[in-house]
Amino acid sequence: MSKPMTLERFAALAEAFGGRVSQWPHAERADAECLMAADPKVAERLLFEARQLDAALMEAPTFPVPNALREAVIAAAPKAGARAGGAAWWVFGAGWATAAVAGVALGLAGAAQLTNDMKVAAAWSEYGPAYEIPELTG
Amino acid sequence: MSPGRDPDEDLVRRAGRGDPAAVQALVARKLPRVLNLAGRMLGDPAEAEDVAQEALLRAWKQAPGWKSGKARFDTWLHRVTLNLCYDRLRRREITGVQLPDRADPAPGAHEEMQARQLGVRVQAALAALPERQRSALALCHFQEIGAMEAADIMGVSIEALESLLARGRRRLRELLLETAREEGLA
Repeated sequence: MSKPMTLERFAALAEAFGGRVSQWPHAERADAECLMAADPKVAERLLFEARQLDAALMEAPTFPVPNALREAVIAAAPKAGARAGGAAWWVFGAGWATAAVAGVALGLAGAAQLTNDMKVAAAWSEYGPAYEIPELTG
Repeated sequence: MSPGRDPDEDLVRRAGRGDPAAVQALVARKLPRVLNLAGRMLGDPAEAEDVAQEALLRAWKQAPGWKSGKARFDTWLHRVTLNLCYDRLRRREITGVQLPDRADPAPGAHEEMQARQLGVRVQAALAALPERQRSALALCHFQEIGAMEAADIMGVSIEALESLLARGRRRLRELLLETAREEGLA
C-alpha cells in the first residue's frame, strides 16, 4: 500500500492542475480523495484557492469558428476516388488564383481578403511538404 | 503513452476515403478545438484561423493512410497545431512583429467591453506567459486534455508538465492581481 498523500503534495497538485480533482493525474486521484475524506476543511480551502483561478480562466474569450473557415476546411477534405492529398492542393491553388483574378478585376477593392488568402496560400506552400510532421504510427 | 482505443480512428479513416459525413463530423469535432488552442497560443484570431486551417489540411493529407500507433489522432493534431503556433511565435520574435493594439470600441460597445473586461485581462495575462507555460495551460485547462496526454503532446515528462503548469498558474494569478490593482479593482 502506498503512503498517504501529504497536504504539501495535495497543495502542489491543486496549484498545478487546478481545483477539479478529476483533472489531476489519474495515478494520484485516489490518494487525493482519501486526503479529502480525512481532512476535508484544509483540502477544501486549498481547492477553493485553485478554483478561483479556474473561474477567472473560464472568462477568457473563446474563438468561434467562422463559416468561411469551416467551409474552406471541408472543401479541402479528401474526395472519394481522389488521390490522397491532391484535393487540398487543388482547392487552395484554385482559391488563390480566383482571389488574385478577383483582386485585379475589382481594383483591389477586396484587398484585405485577398491578402489573407495569399497569406494562407503562401504559408501552405512554405510549410507543405518540408514541414516536420509528428510521428504518426507506432 | 499507451493511447488505448483511438475514438477518432474510424472517423479519420472514413474521412480519408472521402466520406462527406465523416468529414463533416471530424470538422465539427476538431476544428473548434484546434482554433481555440491556436487562439490561446497566438492571441490573434486571424493568425489562429490560418493555423487551424493548416493543421486540418495536414490532417486531410494524413487521413487516407491513418493508423493510430503511439499517438491518437487528437494528440497528433494538437501536436501539429502547437508546432505551427511555435513556428509563428518564433517568426514574430525574428521579425519583431507585435500584435496590434486593440481598436477603440465602437460607440455603444462600452457595456460589452465592460462585460468582457475580465476575459480580456485573462487573455492578456496568458499572452504574457512564456510559451511553454502557455501551452501547458492551454492543453490542460482549456482543451481539458489529461496530464499524460498533454505531456506527450509537449514532449515533456509529467513532472515537467506539472512544473510548467504550477509556474504558469502562479504567474497568471500575479498578473491578474497586478492589472486589477492598476484598474482599482483590488
